[in-house]
Amino acid sequence: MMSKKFRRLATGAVSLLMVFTVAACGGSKTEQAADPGKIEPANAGETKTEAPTESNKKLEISIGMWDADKAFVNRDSDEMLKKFESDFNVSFKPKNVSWSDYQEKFRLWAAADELPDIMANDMFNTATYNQWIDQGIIRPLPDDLSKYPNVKKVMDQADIQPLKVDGKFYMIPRLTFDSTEDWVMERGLIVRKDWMEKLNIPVPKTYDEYKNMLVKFVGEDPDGNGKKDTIGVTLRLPGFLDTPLLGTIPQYSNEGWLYEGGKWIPSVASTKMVDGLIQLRDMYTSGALDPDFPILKNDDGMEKFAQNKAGAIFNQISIDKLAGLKTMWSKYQHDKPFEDAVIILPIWPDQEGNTYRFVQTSFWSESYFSAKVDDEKMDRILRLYDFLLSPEGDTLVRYGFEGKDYKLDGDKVIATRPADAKTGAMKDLKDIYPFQQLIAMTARWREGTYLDDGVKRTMYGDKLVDITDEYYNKQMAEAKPIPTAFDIKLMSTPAKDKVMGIKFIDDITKVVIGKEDPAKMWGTVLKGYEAKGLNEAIKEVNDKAAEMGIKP
Amino acid sequence: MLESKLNGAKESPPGTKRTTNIVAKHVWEARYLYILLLPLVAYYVVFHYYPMYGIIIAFKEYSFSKGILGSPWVGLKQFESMFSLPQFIDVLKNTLILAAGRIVIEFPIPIIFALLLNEVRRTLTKRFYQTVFTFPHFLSWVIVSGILINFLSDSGVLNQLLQYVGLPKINLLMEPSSFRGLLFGTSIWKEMGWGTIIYLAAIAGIDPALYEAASIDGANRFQRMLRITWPSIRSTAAVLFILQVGNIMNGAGFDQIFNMYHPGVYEVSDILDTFIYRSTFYEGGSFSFSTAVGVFKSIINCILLIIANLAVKRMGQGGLM
Repeated sequence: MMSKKFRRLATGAVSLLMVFTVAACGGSKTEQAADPGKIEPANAGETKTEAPTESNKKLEISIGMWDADKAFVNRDSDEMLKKFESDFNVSFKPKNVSWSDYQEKFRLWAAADELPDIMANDMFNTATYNQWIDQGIIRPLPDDLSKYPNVKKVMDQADIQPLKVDGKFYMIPRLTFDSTEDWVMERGLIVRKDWMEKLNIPVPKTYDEYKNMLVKFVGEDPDGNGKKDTIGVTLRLPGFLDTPLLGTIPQYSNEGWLYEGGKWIPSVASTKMVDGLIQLRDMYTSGALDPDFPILKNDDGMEKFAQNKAGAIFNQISIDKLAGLKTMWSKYQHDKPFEDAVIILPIWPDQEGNTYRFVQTSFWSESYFSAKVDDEKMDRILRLYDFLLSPEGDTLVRYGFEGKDYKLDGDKVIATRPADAKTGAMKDLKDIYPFQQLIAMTARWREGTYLDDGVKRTMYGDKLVDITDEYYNKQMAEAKPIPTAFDIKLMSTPAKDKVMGIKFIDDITKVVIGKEDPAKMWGTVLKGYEAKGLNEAIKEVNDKAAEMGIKP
Repeated sequence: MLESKLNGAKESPPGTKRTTNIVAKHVWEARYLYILLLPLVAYYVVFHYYPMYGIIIAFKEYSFSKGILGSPWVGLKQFESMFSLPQFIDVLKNTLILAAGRIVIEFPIPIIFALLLNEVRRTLTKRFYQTVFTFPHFLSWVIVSGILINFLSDSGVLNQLLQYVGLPKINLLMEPSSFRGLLFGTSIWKEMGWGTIIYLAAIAGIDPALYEAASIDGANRFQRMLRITWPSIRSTAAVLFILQVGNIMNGAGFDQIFNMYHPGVYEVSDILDTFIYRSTFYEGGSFSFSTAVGVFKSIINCILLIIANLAVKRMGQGGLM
């Protein structure tokens, strides 16, 4: 039998639990109602309170970006964070996403009405982008940007104009390079020069020579451990299969469209795509290509290269990326330093003898702003962007504080950052101010490419800088840019946006490791794309191109 | 009696009142039990029944800004586009094949293992085996797939061994023909020990006198297992079987497949759950579409559950409903 006391106690406890449950369930709604972001832009004026005034009210700005959490590890002592927070009278809040889940997370947050104020994503001209605009999930920029001259300058760029939707911009492109030409280092092949020398392999020129070299890496024990345990060429990630396709269907690697048979078609529908697939299949079956490439994740590919397991890797070859690979390399035992052991090679020429170099729009990703951002907050954000895009802001996030992190010798920047106690190399700016890695990437994507040459040499070493400079100059002189119709690429039509959202790489992977004839397999894949609107996309694009007077 | 019945009919309002009073009295008498029951009811209402209204977006064109109730109705459009997708039939086929495989291949293993384990004489040995076989259950699929890659990839342990004895390499992870086998194999390895727990508990409840009587009658160990142990756990197996069949469309194993598959083996391993995941989060498909696929899945599940329950009842076992 339950004693009376116990009954009362139990009843009390259960009632309390119920109260908490109800309170917890109701909590989110209360918070939502109090959310200042909910203020309708049109009514913003009516909701103003006496003090503090609109312009100096402290605002909280959430930023959704890759590894955003890492930027706030020194919240209390990070001088760069403090400077930005006090100059703009804001408090930054990170919303963390990772490289493997950012697209999913943003979509989830959008569904849960929890999008951060600012987010970095690559989704213009996709079905999601159009959906978000239609449904009022992201907000447009104000029509008049004259208050923010540096932002205006970006938005006035010619290649940005096609991105207007109903006369408005819903994003700010995160400029990567100043011109489409500067993308050369985005795709390349890094090869073990020491292995080539050991096996007496001359620098390859044609596809067959490349393939033979890679096959020798597999079969002739280049690491000399007596085991047949090496790979020919691996990839940074499965998506880097676009790099070997530069030798057959270069437009695939920059998601371009090409003019074939009297009309514009996406690269995947081109007859050359089949040639590319046949070549990839050949690489796979001959053993030249990493047999495990479909399951590569995160840094698997780079680790294989750094660990002496692979003779080559399709990767980015910019100074930052090479430095990253070198850091991984130095974790393992090697006979030679990274710079002496590797060589960067272009992708083999196509059937007509043309070698292609990578080109892309001046940006690869964009900044989006949640529709919950009211006009006041948007003004603050745009002022921040204006500063970040100004020469002064650029210098601050690239080099740190003058007199402390660098000094000027005429126009030349001399970095004066302290050396790392462990490695002896100069500390990265982000190691001194963790916030730098986020804020430098907020308004644009900043690669080390544009750093002052002297600073680059201090940071990465002469040899690495020389390797990249030499390759860059050679490619610019000898290789052709991928023939890209940027007008078509940037065009948005409903079916095109849907079709270009397909993960082509999944089907390419399937064909490469498949057993049936690649041409036949790809034909089946294309039938599937037709069901998803391929033919409508081609029609829409060609109609619009005719209307706009775009000629091949 | 007739009179009283008539009276009762006449005085129906007071009669109803009386019934209500009786019910209220009963409730009041057992009020503490009802209060104890409340949190559970609240849990089901809040977390299971209340969110269920969300399935209406399968019949709508869901818009983030308009919300679930405000989005426009589109009838069966989402279902039509689902059935017209070229890969839908393949995905459905994979789901059914894998789920059926789980029942045919994986379901009996813990029963057999429990029966065998029960025959081990030394308690210590029995415990040892049980612990060893139960442990993999606590590893997540992320870890298991990592282990698998280390074992079976081109440069993995298996291929190193094959090379050592002069045999050609095999890459089981890339082969569509071997991939389903891998899924079943790893799942058995991971869950076999855990699955035996419930059967061992049922076995522990068998009256030892039955075994004693059987051995006096001259039954050997195998006969005892067949005539005493198995009939005693058959009803447990029947209930678990119904539950598994009812979960057939979910039971194909999202966690496992998502961590192990890649585009090269989609043709044999892409199930409804992985398909929904990719179409929603990678290709930016609509939430309405994904919900429509989910609703379709639940309907099939529900039908299968009822069929399984009927089948089990026909076989002479007590069903769930």
